[in-house]
Amino acid sequence: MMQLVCWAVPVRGGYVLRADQAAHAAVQSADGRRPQFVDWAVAIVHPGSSGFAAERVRRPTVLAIESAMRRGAQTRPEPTGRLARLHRSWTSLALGAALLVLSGTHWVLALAGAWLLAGRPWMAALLGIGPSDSPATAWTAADVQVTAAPHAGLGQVGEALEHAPDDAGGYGQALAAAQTLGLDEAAEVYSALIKHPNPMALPVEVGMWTPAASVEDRALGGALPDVAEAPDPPGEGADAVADTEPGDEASDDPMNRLP
Amino acid sequence: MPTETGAAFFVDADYAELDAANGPVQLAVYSPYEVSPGEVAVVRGRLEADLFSYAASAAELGRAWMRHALLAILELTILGVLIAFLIANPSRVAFIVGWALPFGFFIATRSALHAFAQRQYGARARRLLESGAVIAEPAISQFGGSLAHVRDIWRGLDEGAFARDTVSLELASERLLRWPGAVAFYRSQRDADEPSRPRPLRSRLARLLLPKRPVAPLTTLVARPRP
Repeated sequence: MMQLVCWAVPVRGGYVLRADQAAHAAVQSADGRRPQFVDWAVAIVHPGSSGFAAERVRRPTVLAIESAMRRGAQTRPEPTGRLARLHRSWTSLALGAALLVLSGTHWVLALAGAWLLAGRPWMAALLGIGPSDSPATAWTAADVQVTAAPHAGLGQVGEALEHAPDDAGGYGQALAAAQTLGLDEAAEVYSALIKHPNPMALPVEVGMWTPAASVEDRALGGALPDVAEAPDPPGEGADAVADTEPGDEASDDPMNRLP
Repeated sequence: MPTETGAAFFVDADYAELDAANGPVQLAVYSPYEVSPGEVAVVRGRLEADLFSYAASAAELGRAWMRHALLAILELTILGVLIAFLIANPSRVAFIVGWALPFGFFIATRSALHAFAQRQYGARARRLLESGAVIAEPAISQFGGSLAHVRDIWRGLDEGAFARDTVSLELASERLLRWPGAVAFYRSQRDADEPSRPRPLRSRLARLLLPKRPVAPLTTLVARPRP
């Protein structure tokens, strides 16, 4: 089972879902794998607040991953690859052209020039040892297992956002925290939000907005309990999604005594 | 690992040596801090992406070395005929063209040598693609050589044995810890900070002629602020 990561970046009133930078590479690399090894699990990393409902963001998460796939496919660097191949073989091409120019009536020189210019690439293609095109991606949204995992860094970013009095200041502080923590995905979301502070209007390449559970419940009429204020008792969570909590590891862990 | 501004994860593994025939790949995370499940998920996701991207890019290595050799023989034959012709007909053209022949006529030979030398890496990469798997649950802070390395570098930093800058940390990894993975990690950090310098001529020539190991990426940076 291969794991993809989707970031649930905290914003005012909800989250922005964004696929991890490695998601596209993971899906591309699955092309050459046997089908039995290509099951997908998506881990949604979130700030760890009790208002996060993983089951509600399952569908937007899959959409965010698919959006990243499409973006990656559109930005495949084909011209760069051709340019690189040309750069690698420019010496042979130049020598081949020189041999043809200097050949005059000498057929041996002309043959050598033709070999360098066209003969070798043609023969390599004939023998099947040239670069091959990559096949279609193996990503399928069916049967994707979604899990949620609290991320300590996102939690710090979320706290920085909460303590700010207004949206602009909050996103500025959250951007600074995300940059300090090296959370590139979160930093890009906050950079976009500083320019346009409406998360619902974010371009799809930046991320997909989803409301927090409490906001959604309020919008639906307030009949349902507020998840943020009334978390489920242990063992009775409504989500079918597995949620791991920090600090589950054994306390006698040798690394806890470091440094 | 400590960095100038905080700490970061890196994966100390040579993907070219990982063989799916030995069983599934186990990720073990070593950290002096408590690592949250989300951070572990990010590390594992990026490790898998890098590992299988490497395998996909290396899968073709060495597969067609006999066809590469066939192409090289053909090219060397043409080169032989050309050299014989230029020796038999010494002229200004022979002088002009002769010195440049190796630049054009050893490319197929070089490819064949590389393909032959890298066939084991290619076979391992294909096995990784076909049956490789990463165990779902990473091991957190298990015993082993890496644990001692991580402990020693943080302890040395606390005791002031070396300064908290990239060059000092790289030197400490090389001379005190004798840890090649950490040296490569800090060198990559330094290279990212500094503008790229031109390689020396000898290094460029060696890179051009000698078969080299496939390049595996150095995975995963998740920075933390300085504690």
